[in-house]
Amino acid sequence: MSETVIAAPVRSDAVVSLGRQVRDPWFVAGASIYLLFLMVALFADVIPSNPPKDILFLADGRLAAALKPGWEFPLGTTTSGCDIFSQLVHGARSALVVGTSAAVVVVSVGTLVGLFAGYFGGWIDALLMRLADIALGLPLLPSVIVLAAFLGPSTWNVVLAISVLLWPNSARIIRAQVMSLRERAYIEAARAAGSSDLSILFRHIAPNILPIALLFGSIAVGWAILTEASVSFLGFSDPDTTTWGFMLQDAYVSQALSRGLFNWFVPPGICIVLLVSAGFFISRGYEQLLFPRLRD
Amino acid sequence: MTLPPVSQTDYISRETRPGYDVPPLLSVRDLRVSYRTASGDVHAVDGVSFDVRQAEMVGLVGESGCGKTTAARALTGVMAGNARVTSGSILFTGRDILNYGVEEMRAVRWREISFVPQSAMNSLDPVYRVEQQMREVLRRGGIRGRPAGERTIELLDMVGLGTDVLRLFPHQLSGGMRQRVAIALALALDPLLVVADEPVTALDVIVQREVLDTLRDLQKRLRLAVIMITHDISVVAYCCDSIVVMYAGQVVESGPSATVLGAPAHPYTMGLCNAFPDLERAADLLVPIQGSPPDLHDTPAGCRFAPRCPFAIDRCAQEIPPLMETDAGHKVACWRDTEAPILRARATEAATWMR
Amino acid sequence: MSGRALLRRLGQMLFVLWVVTTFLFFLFRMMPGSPLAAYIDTSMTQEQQTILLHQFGLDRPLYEQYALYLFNLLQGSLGFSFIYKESVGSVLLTALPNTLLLTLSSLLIAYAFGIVAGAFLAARRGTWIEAVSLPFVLASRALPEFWLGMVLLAVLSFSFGLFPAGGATSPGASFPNAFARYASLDFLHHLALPALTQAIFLQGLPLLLMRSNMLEVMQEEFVVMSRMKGLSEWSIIIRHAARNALLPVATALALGIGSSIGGNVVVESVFSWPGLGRRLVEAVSASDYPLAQGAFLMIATAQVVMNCVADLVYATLDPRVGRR
Repeated sequence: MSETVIAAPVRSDAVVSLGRQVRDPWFVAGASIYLLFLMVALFADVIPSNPPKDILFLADGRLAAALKPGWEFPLGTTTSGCDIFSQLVHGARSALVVGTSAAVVVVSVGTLVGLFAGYFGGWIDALLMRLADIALGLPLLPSVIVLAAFLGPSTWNVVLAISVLLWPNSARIIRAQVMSLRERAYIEAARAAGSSDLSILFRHIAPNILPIALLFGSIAVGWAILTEASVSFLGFSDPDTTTWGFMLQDAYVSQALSRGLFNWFVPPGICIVLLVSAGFFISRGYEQLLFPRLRD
Repeated sequence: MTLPPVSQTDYISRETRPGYDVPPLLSVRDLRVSYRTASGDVHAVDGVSFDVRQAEMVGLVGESGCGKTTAARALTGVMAGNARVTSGSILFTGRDILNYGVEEMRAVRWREISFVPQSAMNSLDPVYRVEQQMREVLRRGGIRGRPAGERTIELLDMVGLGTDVLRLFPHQLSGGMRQRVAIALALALDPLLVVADEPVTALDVIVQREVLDTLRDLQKRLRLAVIMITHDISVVAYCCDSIVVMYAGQVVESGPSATVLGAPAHPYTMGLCNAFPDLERAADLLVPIQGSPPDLHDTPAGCRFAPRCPFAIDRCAQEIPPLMETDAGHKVACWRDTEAPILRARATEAATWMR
Repeated sequence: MSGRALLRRLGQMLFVLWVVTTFLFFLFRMMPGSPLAAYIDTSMTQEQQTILLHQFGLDRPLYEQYALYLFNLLQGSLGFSFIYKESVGSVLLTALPNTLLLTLSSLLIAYAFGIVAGAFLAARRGTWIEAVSLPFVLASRALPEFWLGMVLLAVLSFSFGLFPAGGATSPGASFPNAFARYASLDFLHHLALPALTQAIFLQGLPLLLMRSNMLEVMQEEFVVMSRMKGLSEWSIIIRHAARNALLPVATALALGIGSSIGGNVVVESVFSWPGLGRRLVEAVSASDYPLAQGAFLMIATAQVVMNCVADLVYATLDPRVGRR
């Protein structure tokens, strides 16, 4: 009997519904926005004519400062003479890099923790959940600020700090999923057939967790971009990179608000909103994923 | 909005047993209810007619999907969003409640027609205690304060519960206790008619019997009319005065229980009697009826039971038999009703039902 | 909640607090500069330096320093701020009410609006109202708070002059006592924009949560039953549906208080609001380690405590939890 019992990985409803989601208008909208920004980021060097940090001068030698949007400068210039449009485009690149890398780390760590904690239970679970409690107890932005200040202002330190604090959210959800999957009949069958724990974990359970992990990833990208923007705005990120948050900080500090230079500080914000919303649109189960700390 | 007064005297001053010369409390005629679905309309109730007399317990029996719950819900006016009553009439105490407006119907609900749900676990609001839920219902009848408290205790006593349940939340009660609370709630405003939707299906056999005894006892004492919806014919046999048997959205047989169960005239009823163990008698024969009910998207031309009927003849597939009265109060919809005694004899043999 | 479960939850809270304080202790000791740099700055007088040296045992072995650190912490003594030239405790205590008032007022507005709007949207399921509103609500969750603050500041303050540009009170204003200060029109006028900004940012969560809960609850059997009981629509929606739908929202509120105190950081910076977040940013920028440590600790404590309160609130409101 045991030779004929082959525990084949069974597709859970989550995977099937992921396929259906592709035709959902929300999903299409989100994916299109992502695609658009991806294109912009990839061709950042080619689209705008001026490098983002270059101080530019007009034909008559004056500083091209605080110019209104026009043909040469689609979004005008900053008070120090930099091309806003160029900065915006390059900012897309940073945003996607930061967002994606942070999301990848958060989701990977969260998934692994969730898998192990949920499947093995016992002291592993207790230990990992204690760690999660601690990470969740720390206030997000202040911790990122302190860590970034401690580790030095660089984009990667910010990514690291964000990852350290955001992994528990995905870990908890995945852990809950794993715990319910663990009791299913086909897992019992696999165990009876002699599969090792790790094999069961990665061959049978992980594929069913993947859709949720991916959906969480798309939201994590948004969170990471928002956090990075806030940190940059406060001045704790690398001043040499061009990020939207940094643009906003520059604008704020240069009195763009009182001078009414809307062309400077409105576009970066809109871009952030679009990109982060795209993440929410893609994940149809946004409600469940946005409120991970509440009763599972 | 003034409503015509319910002339209770018309109904109470008559005999203590349901008699057939008195106008019925509830008269359903040719009721049709459809559900609008993505794949077309489902004609869940397709021409159902039956009567309920005062102080009578009527069993509405049939398998899942035959339309019994839909028909009963149509009485209360609270149905699923995509359900529509397409034709027919419901006369309750002589009033056409099917055409009542929202507020008129709301006034009738619970005060005159109340409902005992299938599973009280989900039907009781989990965040309110039993006492609060009872008082809420009594408020509808204008009973508040001390009188409400007294009435609450009286009602609980009627269903065999003590005052200790008052402070409890629904999840703290056992299944049987919850069902009793549901019954107490249904009786709170002294309704004329109680519709009980599978009230004991979710309970284990012993508790089932206790709850049925309580219900039957109350029904007799308070002279309530009760419609007991169930798929279990033994429940009907145990406590109902008359039976209405439904199949695929239509009534196939109706009449006093003794007659219908003792001498069923419709093959479906005969099959049902075979298929269920009895609470009172040991089951000699448990034979299920082969096959399954038709898809209610289409309305077939002939008798709906014909495909599964061991006694079907050609005429059955071509014309729907009308519901006709054979003896006093006993109605059946079958072309071969005159041959009923012979068919009954053959129905008791297992071989008849095996194809 | 049973006594044992309560104690366990409190114990968990204390454990997290302990870990955070210990972590901070080690983190700040490893800041660039000598280990003394965590407490002592060259701008201090010799006398002050000696006092601090003694108080925090900066010349003693590590474990003694740690013990002294905890001991001082429990007494509320966090060191001496380099920037403000006063004890960290007093700086924070002045800043705390500002943050609390900002947090509480914005949460109040956000939740009041969110709950009502959420219930409303649930009732308008499938209509064009829902189709148009939902993207906006989702977008509101994607807004960078500080950017929203900047836009509001630019439009309402600089362009239209309706609100002050920053700070908690007008420069030069004086008040007889603290209460008069916080209740003054001047203060409220200054509070308006930051609170509004924060509220717009926060309302998405209660709104979506309430809407989602209402949709679920309206499908429940007991809601259908209450309709059969002939209860009024009002009674059904408010007493039954909303009452059940509110439970998770109440928990979210408690959690929201905790996380908003820390999340205020950017709003406080945009509006120059003199709260804990602002102090933290100032301290970190200026390498004022004692103040940074103190501010962070206060914010973290608030969050951990409110997480615990959130659990207790939920247990109390939902009779199904913890009564066994």
